[in-house]
Amino acid sequence: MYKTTMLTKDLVAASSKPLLLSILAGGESYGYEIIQKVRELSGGQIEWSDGMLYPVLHRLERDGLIESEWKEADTGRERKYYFISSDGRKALKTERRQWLAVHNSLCKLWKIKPVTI
Amino acid sequence: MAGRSQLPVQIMENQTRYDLNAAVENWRNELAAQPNLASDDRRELETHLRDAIERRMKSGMDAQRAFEAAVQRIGKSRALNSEFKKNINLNWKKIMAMAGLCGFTLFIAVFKPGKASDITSAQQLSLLASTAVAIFLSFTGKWGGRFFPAIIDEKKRAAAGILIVSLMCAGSTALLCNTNGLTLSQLFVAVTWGLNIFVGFSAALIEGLDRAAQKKLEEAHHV
Repeated sequence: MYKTTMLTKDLVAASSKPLLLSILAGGESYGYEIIQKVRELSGGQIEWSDGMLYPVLHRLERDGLIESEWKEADTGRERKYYFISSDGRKALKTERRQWLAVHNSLCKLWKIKPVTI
Repeated sequence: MAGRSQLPVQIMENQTRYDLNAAVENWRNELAAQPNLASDDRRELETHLRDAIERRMKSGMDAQRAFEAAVQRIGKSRALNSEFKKNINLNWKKIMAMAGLCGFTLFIAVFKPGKASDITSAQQLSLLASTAVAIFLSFTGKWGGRFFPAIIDEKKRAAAGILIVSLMCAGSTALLCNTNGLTLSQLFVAVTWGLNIFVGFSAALIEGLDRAAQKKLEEAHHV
């Protein structure tokens, strides 16, 4: 689904949901900005191919986890902004627990300090 | 757009200003020929493309290279189309509709419920044949596209489809008005033929028109 330099395809696909929900939990955003943000956050390790992001966004919207609205940006250009819904926030909590459970198990195995859930 | 690509090289080189808007418009038209992209999806992709071009131009790239790099990055229209298809699953709907229609016809033909009990074996065969014709017709759009006119404008293409489908409606209604002397099972066979051919042909027509436009645009793009 995605082109990546470092992460495997499966891992990038699985992590797209928590990443998108977390980004949108921090405020509304649009596709282009989201891709830039993910690239920045991961130090270039997660590279989402531009055109593939939208089907994932649309799927989350269809599932009621995010909503969208066309709005005019400062530049005068209209953009489709996405924001998180209350169901999305609930889903994010679940995602967070699950990802940290995986993370902490690996931390213990690798003898790295785990984080509190 | 084909005209532009046939310009002699000298003229192309003298052209100091790259027509970015025309390039974006070509790209948009190519997207419009993809059946799985809704107009809202295309609008969203276009704002994305423009953002990507702008960013590249700000960092010093010229318009043409910025456009080409952004298109490369966003993915070719066909690849985009198949990604979006995962959401829409158009084929699945088509198959379900065809299966429903054919299943109903076969049920009547084989079990002859209620008033359909006087269906003769010739009529049974006729119903089976109409089902086969419907299935066959619905698949002809795949290769029939090459004989269809390439109507690039999406709205005109939809209008052409609606016009032909309405004509078929009018035709089948006219035929069915002459059914006074028919028995119920004869009427059923007549309606089934009308309906199956109508559905099969409509499916083929819509797919064929889309494919013709898509092919034309791809050819123009690769000249």
